[in-house]
Amino acid sequence: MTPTEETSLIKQLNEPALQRKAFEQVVRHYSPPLYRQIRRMVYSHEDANDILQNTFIKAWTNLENFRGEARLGTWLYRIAVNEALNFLQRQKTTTAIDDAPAAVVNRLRADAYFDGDEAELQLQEAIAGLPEKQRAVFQLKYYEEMKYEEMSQILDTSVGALKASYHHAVKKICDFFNSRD
Amino acid sequence: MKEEDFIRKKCGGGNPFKTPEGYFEQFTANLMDKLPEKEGTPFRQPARFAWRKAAWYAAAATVCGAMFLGAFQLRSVRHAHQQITPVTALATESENLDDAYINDALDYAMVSNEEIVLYLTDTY
Repeated sequence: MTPTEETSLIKQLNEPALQRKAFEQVVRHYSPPLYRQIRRMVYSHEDANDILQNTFIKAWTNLENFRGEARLGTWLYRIAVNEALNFLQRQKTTTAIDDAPAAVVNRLRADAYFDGDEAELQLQEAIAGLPEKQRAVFQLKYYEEMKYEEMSQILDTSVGALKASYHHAVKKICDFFNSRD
Repeated sequence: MKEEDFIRKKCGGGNPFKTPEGYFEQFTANLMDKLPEKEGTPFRQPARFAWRKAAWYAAAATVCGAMFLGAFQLRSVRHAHQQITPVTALATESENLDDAYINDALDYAMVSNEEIVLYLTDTY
């Protein structure tokens, strides 16, 4: 979406008569990238679907709080990543799902909507071994090629800390591969 | 970054997570059905609303100010009234003292009241 298109969409979101239609456009445009990010964090399609839905409902009910200081996409990513991190925290305390890297690989092998080869499975295993926030940093940079400045607004972390976090994540993943070879 | 290139060569950077056929179209339709109705509040408050609010605050502040000034004025008047009574009494007493002094002086000078009246009316 170009900045001009986004400005026009934000204007429509501000108009009660056009708001709903404009929000539908927002959902159409942003649901694929947000889904990808959420899915990489929680692995399961069903969980990613629920979190994506909560993300947009939260965005809709809090539209008044969006003042256009950040890009619309950045604001939505921020909600989505926070929702996913909260979900992972809740999952740790309330369910008995094994989130150990090996268990994640077994779940992905059985997942009909996972289409990765052995190398990709190994990469997912290595990523699952990272702390949750570092995992989000790695995924946003490696897969979405997001700029650190935007990531800083999403994760509420300084650019320097994000660079360091990404560097550590990449090193840990390389060490993981080297230990397997 | 060398290490990142190593990972990309080994695994690529594609998206291995797939969705059911037509998932996003279905998702948008389902979500729009679930969205609650907004109560007509656009996300930036219009300036007119802010002015109206400010006008109410200004009116309230004016009323409070007027009440305060009124109360202050009333208090000052009462206070002044309470203070004036002894001063007035003192002044009256002082006036009486002055009259007594003049009478004594006139007696001493042996000038009668009739003479003073004649002097003042230019018939002396």
